[in-house]
Amino acid sequence: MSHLSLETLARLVDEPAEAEEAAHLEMCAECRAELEALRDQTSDLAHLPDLEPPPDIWPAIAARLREEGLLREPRRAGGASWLRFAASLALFLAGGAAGFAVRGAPASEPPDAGLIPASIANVADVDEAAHLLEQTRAAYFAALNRYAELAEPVGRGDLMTRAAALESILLTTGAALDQAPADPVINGYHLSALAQRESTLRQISFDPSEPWY
Amino acid sequence: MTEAELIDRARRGEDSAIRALYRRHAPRVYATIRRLAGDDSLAEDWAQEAWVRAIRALPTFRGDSQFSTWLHRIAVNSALHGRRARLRRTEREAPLPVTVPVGATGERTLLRLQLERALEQLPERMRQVLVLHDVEGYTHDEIGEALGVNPGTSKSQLFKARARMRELLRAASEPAVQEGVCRT
Repeated sequence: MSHLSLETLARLVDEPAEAEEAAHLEMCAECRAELEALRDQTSDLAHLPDLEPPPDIWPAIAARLREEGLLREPRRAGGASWLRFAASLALFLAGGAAGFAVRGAPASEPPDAGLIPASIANVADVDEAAHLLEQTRAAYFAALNRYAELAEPVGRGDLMTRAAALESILLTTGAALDQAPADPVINGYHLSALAQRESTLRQISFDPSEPWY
Repeated sequence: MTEAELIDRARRGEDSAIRALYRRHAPRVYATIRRLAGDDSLAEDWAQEAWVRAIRALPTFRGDSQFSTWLHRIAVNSALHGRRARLRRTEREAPLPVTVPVGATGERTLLRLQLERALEQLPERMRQVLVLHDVEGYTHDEIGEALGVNPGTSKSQLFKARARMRELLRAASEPAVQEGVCRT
């Protein structure tokens, strides 16, 4: 028995069969199965998801737009304090958040701000190290929040700038996770940035029905 | 903020508005261009080009169509223009080896990976027609106009591309498939 060619079956995905082709399909289970597979393939292609672009595309686009005068430099609202904040956060997150991401959030126990053990080098167990990181993280954020309260009141403009900055971080970490989904350090950055963004959006009374930018 | 307001601010060069438009539409633009390109480095170049062209052309966007539709057309044209530029260049120069890294990720299903890999293996014209028709939903008339071929050629290329995809996917999922099944 001569089967229908794949090209013919590919045509029948969205065009009616000729009488002879229909008769063959009626009696040939193999060709019916192939046609069904081609229909599934076509449907699967139509439902392919969008793809996150690599993170280095945006900086290249922005640079070109600036060169052409199509993009103005962003306004730096309250820049100094948030720059300091971001620098501190980045330094902390470079090590600390990894344990939080990998081990989860164990801390129902209150942070002990005085707990910065001198014996860090003696920690030999990964679980103990993760626990230490979580304690340090909690103490760090407690200190940071107090610093923010004392340093200067934060205006809505500052918060929006911060939310935008965190969004940029999430764009990058999200793309990085696409490539290395199990990497604990990248997970740590991503989760911490997510938490900070949510906190910032709550502070500016974010209305979820409207974009914040 | 509505998209119209964002676009208006983006026309004035406001960094946050242009970033917001990018964040909102970049995955769709990149997916289209990446699949047309069949190659990461080309896709990155063409995606950059598409966005620069779009922001340049923003003053001409009058809202007669959806912004996403308008942007998508620019993306497709950038990819097709990029293709032609590359063809002209490779006519003069020795072709460079092109690597196609496909990173496995937690969220990509095996099926999606197989589809993306099979798309990359199609000859360029077949891939373009298949992506434009079966992924992007273009008609054969629209494909003919975009590629400078008649609609009949687009149809013929589509059927060949679907058949080739089927062979590639079958080979990927059933490496021990019997030869000679369902052939004329």
